[in-house]
Amino acid sequence: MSSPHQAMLFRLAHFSLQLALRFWPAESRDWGNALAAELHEIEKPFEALRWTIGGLMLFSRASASHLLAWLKLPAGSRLSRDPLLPGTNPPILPKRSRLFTAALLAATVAVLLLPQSRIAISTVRATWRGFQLWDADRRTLDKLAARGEREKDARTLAFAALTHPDSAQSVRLAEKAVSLDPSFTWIYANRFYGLEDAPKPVEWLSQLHTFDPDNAFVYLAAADAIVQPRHMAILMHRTPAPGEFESAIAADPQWLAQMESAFRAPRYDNYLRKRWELICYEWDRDPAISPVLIGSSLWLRRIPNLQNVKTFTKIKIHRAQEALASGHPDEAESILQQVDGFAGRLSQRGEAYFERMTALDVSYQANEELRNLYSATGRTREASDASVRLQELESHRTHGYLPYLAETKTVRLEASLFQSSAILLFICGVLMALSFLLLEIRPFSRRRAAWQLFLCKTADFAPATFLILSCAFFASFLPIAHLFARYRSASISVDTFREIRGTLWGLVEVPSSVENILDPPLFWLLLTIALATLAAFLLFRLFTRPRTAPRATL
Amino acid sequence: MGVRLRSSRQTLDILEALLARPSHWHHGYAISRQTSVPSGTLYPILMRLDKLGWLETKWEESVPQGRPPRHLYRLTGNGREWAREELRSAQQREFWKPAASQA
Repeated sequence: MSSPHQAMLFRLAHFSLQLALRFWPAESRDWGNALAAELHEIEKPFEALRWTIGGLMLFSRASASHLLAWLKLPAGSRLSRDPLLPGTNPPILPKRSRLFTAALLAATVAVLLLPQSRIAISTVRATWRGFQLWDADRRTLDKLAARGEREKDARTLAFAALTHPDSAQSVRLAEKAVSLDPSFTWIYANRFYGLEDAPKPVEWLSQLHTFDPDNAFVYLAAADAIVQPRHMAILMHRTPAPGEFESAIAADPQWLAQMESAFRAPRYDNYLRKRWELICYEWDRDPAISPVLIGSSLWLRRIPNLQNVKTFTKIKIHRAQEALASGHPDEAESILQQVDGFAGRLSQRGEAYFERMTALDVSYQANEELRNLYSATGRTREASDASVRLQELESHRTHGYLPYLAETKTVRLEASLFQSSAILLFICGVLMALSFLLLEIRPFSRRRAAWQLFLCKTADFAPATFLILSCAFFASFLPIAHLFARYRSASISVDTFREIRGTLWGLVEVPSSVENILDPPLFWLLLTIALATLAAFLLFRLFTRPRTAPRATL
Repeated sequence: MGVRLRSSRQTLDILEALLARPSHWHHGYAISRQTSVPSGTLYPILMRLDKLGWLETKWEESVPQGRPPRHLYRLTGNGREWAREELRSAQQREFWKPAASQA
């Protein structure tokens, strides 16, 4: 072997041992130095390398035994402790060893790594962020989209298009999904309702009309596409006067034509069921998919601009009143029945609260006019039927949502329990981490300070509490997981949608309350009250503490 | 926790090397060459002998410039007695043979 190679091997051997000596545990470093000193006596390079390898093995054994000895001590203690000075107290240390703590933490990690726990953690993450997408969720969506493109899976592409926060990406995915399977044309309206963000609104609307000509939702979308730009143009310059906007659009023949088609259309379908099928398809494929994606996908759906419906209802009722006044009661009745029919379809398939409430309002107005019409034309039986219908509608408006609250009460209680255990787990984790960090990094003083005692107690009890809370967290998620599984397999209906919404609201309820508590003014008020209470307690202790006799001094 | 020493063949070889010249101070590398025990095995055995009080250690006093002092080892009085007993017992059990007889 050439001498440069030999020199390199010697240098490598020396460097490795010197590096190991820098990290060698103090209690056996002398032996490391002894082994390294012998290296200077070795003349053959491979012999030196063998000697070094043995030294590195000795180093790893010394480090392992050092680590084990360190783990057997409680947090905050050191292997080489300075001897106590006479008359000084030994430092306060936790009672449990680091090894015991590490074992508890390992058990906790095992619980938290269970598949259900991981879904529970991502659910907490989702709800604490109000179902806002994180970068990780965007990456998941990008991966889903890439998989959809690779497998030419129109459903996955449609799901990604409906949920992706990036408008341009969403458009691309939507067009890809529709080109693969035209039965997904509805996602244009569902993702880009009003099509204000759509790059090709005319083309898309035309596709929508061809795809679903009997659906009022498509015409409402087209009407909104006419209204939105005008509305925005006015709002950019000034606040419109009351009724100004309604008068402007009421004079627009294109808008009137689209609204007329919407009211005449035999169906109303806001595509929520189709959307839910897509969500369930992805959720079934990957039950551990982030609840952020499920929640945001559900929230992101569009409902029609109900102001258009209200405005057009007024126009129709006005027309009916004019027809009645000009002696055409049949025409007036036909107009009002058409309005009531539309309201019925909106109420039947409008799962959103606002859709149903608007439907009830529209129906109420139509039936009120019908009752007046029947009374005016002497049709007492029909007038009486209309009165009964009005009472029913009034009852629905007042009590229609009470059963929903009663049904979801249990779910919300379970969701609250789950969130409370998550919050407690989080607080316990933070306290535990802080106590260990402070105990380990702070050179312990001889003074028996109260805070030190608190840290030691926390270090002693927090790991076990953390384990118990993680089990509670896991257990409290099981009912929610059961609900999720049920929702995945359920076909969406008004009741299911309400229940899902109730569960999601229930999950967000506790974090929202905490957020409200941490709202600056309230937070400072609570902090002031807490500090004032503490000061009062300290003053009380100062005046009520029994006085001890002074110590005798030598 | 007490330190235990398992009388393995390598331990017995090392004891034999140390007993060959009992009053002489030995270097680690020299013991390793004599017994063919690698450094990763030699030093843990020396450390245990030291902890049991059967090994005397010291650092080299006069050191030539340019190299660190070497660590020196020899058996204590008790250590020598124990080592002789161990070697004799191992020979009787035919577990180990002295290097001279192996050659």
